Amino acid sequence: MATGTVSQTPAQTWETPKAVKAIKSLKTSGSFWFGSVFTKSLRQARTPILAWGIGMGFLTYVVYAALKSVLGTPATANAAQQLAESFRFFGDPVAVGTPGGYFTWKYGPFIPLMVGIWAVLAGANMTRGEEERGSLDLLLAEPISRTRALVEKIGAFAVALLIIGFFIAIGALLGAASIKTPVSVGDALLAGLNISLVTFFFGMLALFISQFTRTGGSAAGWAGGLMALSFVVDGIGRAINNAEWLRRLSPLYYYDLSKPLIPGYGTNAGAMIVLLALGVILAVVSVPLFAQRDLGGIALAWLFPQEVNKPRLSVSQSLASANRDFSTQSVGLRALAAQGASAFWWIVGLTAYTLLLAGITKTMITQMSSFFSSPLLAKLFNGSNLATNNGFLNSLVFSLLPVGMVFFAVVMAFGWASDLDNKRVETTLSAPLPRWRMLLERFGVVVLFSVLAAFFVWLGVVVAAVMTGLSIDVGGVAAASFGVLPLELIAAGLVYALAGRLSAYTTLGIVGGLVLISFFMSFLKELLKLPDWAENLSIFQQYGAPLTNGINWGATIVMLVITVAFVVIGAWQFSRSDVK
Amino acid sequence: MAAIVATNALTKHYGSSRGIIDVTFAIEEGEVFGFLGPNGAGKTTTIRSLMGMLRPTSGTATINGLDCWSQSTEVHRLVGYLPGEFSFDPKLTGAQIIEYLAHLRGGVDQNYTRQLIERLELDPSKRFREYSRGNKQKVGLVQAFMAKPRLLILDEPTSGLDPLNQQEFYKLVAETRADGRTIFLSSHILPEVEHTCDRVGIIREGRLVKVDEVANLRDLRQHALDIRFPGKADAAWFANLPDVTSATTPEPNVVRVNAHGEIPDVLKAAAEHGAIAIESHEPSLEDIFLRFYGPDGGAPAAQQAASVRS
Repeated sequence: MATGTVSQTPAQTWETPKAVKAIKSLKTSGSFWFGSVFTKSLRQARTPILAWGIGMGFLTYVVYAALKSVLGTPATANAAQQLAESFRFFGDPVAVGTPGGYFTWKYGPFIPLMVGIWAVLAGANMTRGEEERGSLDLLLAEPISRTRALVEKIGAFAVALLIIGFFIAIGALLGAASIKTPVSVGDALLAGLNISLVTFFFGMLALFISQFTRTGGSAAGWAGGLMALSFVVDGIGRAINNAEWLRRLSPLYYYDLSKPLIPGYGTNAGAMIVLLALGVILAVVSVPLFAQRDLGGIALAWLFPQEVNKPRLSVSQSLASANRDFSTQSVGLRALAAQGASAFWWIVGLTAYTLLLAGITKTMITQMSSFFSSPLLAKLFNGSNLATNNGFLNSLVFSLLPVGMVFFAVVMAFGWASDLDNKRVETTLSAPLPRWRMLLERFGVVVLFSVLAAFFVWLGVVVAAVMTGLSIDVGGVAAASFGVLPLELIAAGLVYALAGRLSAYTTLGIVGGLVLISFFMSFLKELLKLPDWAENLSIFQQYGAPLTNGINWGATIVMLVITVAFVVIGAWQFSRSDVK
Repeated sequence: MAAIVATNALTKHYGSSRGIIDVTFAIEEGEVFGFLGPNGAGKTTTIRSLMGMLRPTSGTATINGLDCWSQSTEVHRLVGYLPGEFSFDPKLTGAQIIEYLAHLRGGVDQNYTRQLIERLELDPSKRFREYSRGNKQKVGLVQAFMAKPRLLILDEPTSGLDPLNQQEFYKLVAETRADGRTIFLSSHILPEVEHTCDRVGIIREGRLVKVDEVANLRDLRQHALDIRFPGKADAAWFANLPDVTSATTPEPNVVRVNAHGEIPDVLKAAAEHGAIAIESHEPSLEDIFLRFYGPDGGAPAAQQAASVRS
């Protein structure tokens, strides 16, 4: 057995056919997409690019294609124009009687907000996402400067938004062609570009803010809040006389200045350049802020006094205070504390939206009672009789709010899915607690948050009504607010049923997509003309109009039963499957 | 003594890829059992199957007679567990994590917890994300030991700890054994297992290849010596000595000798040729595995000795 020669390390232990194949595929497919930070970032964004691009492009197409029936006669076109005049809050009422004008009025602000959700998340996590995962250290250990890395990431982000804008342009072109309305290729592309530019601004705003926060999540929260605020500021400036100046503070104003889809209105090149410049300035400022700060730290840290002189607690003191801390007592209380801050801000946002819209209801009704009796208007605005307070609240407050509340519940339920993915539950699961109980305690917290959201929405309408002297049906408002509860729970339940099997982001994508489809099936039902059975699949269709028609108890019970089934499936499969 | 841990032909497949195959062993109450193997050998898969995190494809695992999968809640009452990748909500402080897990478990003596924290020199007031790897590991060790469980299952417990804290950990292991409690720990560091364990199981490529008392594993002990001479050296001086597995000359005046067992002949030969220095390297476990369980049936495989891991 003794030899005097150098022996070879056996290479065959790892050179399996599988390994050889993997290396080969690395060399071929990887050479392009993994060749630079730019292409790698673009590849990473491929799913959202397709989801948002095709989703928004399809929405644009469907709305256009269905407009012929809504604006078919001069009378309906005229009614639409009058309606839009009174709903200036939502959008500029320009040529609303034409397909391009109607689309621009009703979906002009909506589409950039939807695309903006992705833009804000991507911008906020452009550096923070990788910093939180720890993978940025690795990337920057390569001989590539931080400036270069971030510039490439920003470039990929811009290209992603251009592609999404392109999809929307295609949707507009196809939709317009289907109803034989002339829209030039150039105008459609400019409409798409306008959306790319305004969402680029929000993304760069999020990137800029993220240089001063420790997590991508909080930067996304701030930037998302500012985006919502800019929508509200723009709307108020438009709706209230002599407040036009207010609009100039909102980036959406510069977006609104261009309406390429309205023939003869055209594009305001100056406004587009302003939008581009605002985005580029934020990008240019963010790059050196990122390049000169600690990874994981915040930019300009010297401006923010550190907690250096905090007295250090002894071991006993730390333990004793942690022992008394309510959040360490059980799985449910722990989840309540972990998600409390996020839930608080969501509920504040939902309540503020309710207060604002319920608050302007009285003014709007008295101003415009003259033409609210038109049945055509009811058709345009989701079938509610706008002449009554309840009908008006139904259209204004309880049309979009339920979607917001359902998304709130989905985001809260997502916490469970993401904890499973992050392998943070392994140690907790080693405690002598059955797995189903852990899951139920977590779901209980989502139920609690959903009830709170419904309660504060109800309270918001009641308070706004009392303050503005609007007479309302308190019970009806309660039915409308708490009627959303089964919708929230069914969506959250679906997250629980899928989490653990699918990755957290796949789960979020599936449930979020279903909620949106379901919402549009109901919101656009006058346009889509789906068969009854298909319409009834939508949870928002099942929600109906509780403010005027009362709660649909049959549907509510069915939805609650399905929720229970989802949670049981979730608990059953979580108890029976491997922990990731 | 009765077996507290027992597996019988425990097998776990992940889709098409290998997990563990037919793993059978038993651990007696009161012993310290080391689970040794290179990365990816199946140590963590075995441990997570014992903890009821993974559902076995076939075979069984029991702890104190309870099935590890179907009775995992009862099993967890007996076990303190340190996962291989200890991760937690980054916003919580060490103290909050420890107290949270103590509340879920119930009946934890806060005085003992405090002692553990002080012995491992952990600052529990910091947030989890602010801890270094070693400090995160200390939080994991404190929560595993704090309930004084009958059985401790520790996946690479010393990973990330500095040598002083490693010594403190070895003391904890010794105290636990003196208490009559059982420890099952995994490692890829041979000297550590030699140092702490009564018995060792060696796992490689998903199969348990050997279970034996530590004392019987001395044969595995490898010496990798670099012997330096004043002038040009010749590998042939050592190549044919008993127990020498290979000898080479990486530099003209250095002979690198791999040997196992006792090595009086090597030392004698070195002295005869006027050696001026001897440097000893701890061989890596991988080398030992390749040598004794290599694909070509035990031929000397890896010549290069790696440095000591600590």
